[in-house]
Amino acid sequence: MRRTTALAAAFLLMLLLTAVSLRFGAVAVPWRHIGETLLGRPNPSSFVVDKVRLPRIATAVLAGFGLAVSGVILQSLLRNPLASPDVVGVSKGAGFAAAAVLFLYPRAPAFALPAAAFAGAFAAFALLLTLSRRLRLGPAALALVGVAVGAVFQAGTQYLIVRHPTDINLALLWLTGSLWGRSWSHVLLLLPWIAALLPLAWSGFAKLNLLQLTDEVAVSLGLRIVRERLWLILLAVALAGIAVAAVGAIGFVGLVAPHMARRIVGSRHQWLIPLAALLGADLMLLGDVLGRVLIVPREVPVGIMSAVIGAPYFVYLLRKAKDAGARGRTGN
Amino acid sequence: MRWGVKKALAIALVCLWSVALAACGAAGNSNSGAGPAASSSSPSASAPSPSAASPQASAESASGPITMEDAVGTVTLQKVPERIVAMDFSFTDALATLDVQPVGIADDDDPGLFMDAVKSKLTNYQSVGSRYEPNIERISALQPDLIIVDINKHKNALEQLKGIAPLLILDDYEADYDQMIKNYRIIAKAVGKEAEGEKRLAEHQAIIDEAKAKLGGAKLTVLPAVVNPTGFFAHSEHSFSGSFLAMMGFDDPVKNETSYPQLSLEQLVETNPQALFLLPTDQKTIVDQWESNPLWKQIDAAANGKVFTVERRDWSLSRGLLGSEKMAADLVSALGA
Repeated sequence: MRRTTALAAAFLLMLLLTAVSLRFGAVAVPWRHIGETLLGRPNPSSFVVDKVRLPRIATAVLAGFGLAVSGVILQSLLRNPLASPDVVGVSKGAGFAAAAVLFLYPRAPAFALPAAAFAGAFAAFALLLTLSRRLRLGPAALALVGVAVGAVFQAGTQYLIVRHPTDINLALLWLTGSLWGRSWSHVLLLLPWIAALLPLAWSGFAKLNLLQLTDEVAVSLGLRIVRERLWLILLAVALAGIAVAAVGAIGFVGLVAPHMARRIVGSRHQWLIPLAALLGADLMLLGDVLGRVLIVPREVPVGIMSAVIGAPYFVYLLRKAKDAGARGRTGN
Repeated sequence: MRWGVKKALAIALVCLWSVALAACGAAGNSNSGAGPAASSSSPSASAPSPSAASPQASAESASGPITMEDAVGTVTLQKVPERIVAMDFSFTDALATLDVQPVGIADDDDPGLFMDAVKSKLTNYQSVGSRYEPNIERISALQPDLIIVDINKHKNALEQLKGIAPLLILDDYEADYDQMIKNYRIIAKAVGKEAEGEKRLAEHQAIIDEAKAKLGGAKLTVLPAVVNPTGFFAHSEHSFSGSFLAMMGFDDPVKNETSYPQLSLEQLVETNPQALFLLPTDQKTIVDQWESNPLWKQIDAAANGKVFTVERRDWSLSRGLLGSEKMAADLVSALGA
């Protein structure tokens, strides 16, 4: 019951944030114009609502879904609360590929950037696969190999930044993660992937429930552990890769949204995955709308805002976990 | 199993919601494409079909449509644009020399970044925010009839911006002096002032020639550099100010293949410029530390008192005719006989 309530609340919050995002921004848009635009009637605000805010909202929601679910899968597989697309090197690989395009081929067409980012995410994954003996390593070692892979790509990105110190603005914006200029073509890029991968990820909940136990238990319960792990990580990489391709290397959402969800509904993935997805979308929407109204006419990139909102919560979580641990000991 | 069904329903609901959102947009798309939606009153820049000419445009096009080539293709404007948004200081510089008032400028929301000669010509404009991520909502609210954008910085938003107004897409990112002159001609034509533009270019040439005469063909190696608290960024001959100095007859001491190589003090001593123009971004810069280093005095420029401080907004931001003329004036006052 509580879980259903949590899901409904997160969903309603998403609708509420969508409405707020449609209403507020650099330009005042009355509710009446929003309604008319949604009904397809021409009105003075239809451009801002239909061509700027709606695609931004849809991109934020879909990317939030992708990042959060990717984070859930990785945290459970690696049995590591710090795991996220960032930590296993996926976002770092995407970031390096995107920075390479921005710096070395500044005249590349606009679609080259998401394509390169997506390819970079999978390149990082391929490297992880090779270095971890096709994932036969234990979860902790796997996470560390991911960190190492990420560090190599991070170093590459930083080398590019140091080599081209004066035109780093575009690259820094991309590496932070931004929803500026995202249009319906970005939504169409994300939608088929997310629509296909999200149900697939959710249908793996039973395996994820087992895999977050120890390897021995999972094997004894009949799971072909290496193969399942490979398949699920591939899913996580694809989800994060496509999200990062569309909005840039946003790190924090994939780390924090799964934690929030785990706090509320526990570790059963049939509940965890949908709630984390909704919370990821909520975080993206909240970060974007705040970033758009804070310092008009400039914008604060959503990657910064989502970290600013997410970081205090993360600290709160850590403190709370410590308290619970202390209480548990005294209880004994 | 009961849970499974419930969750499947929840997932389906979420997917449905996203699809509905996208469908809304798609519906809106087809609407504005087919019908006379309020926002698309001007024909798109890339595909100006004869049938798209609205009655309003044909009534006002006494002077006929304007056609020019920008960095990506042919742009046709049905009438002289009156509400122009400029997405960088270089475009604003060009418009200021043509006595055209932009309604919106991407000025990083800091009017202090305009050089004085440009700021004094601007009367009433709205900031549209960052030059890298200008505020699209505010641009659309200004209802412009021309937006001047950069082919590189703004490429991710071209699709959206095209829905607001015709675009003039220029190759401005890292443009050198010659490229700036080419862009100037395109802008002059776009605002219906081709003749005024040529006249202004002739005046510009006269000012530059006069400055060259005053400099008396001094054969020096001259280095402009942006300096901030952490680094020294030389402007090589590929950069705007570097290419301007080359045009003025000075030599680039760096000979680097990139536009803005970062130099250490040792590297700077090795390139040994005979005159140094510093463009500080802050009160305190790295040069304050370098000056106390004995190496600093080994640079010809430092030894001969030819280290000058000039304004970054003049030399590096306002990349246009006014900026160049200010650079020429600074050069004459520093190095002229």
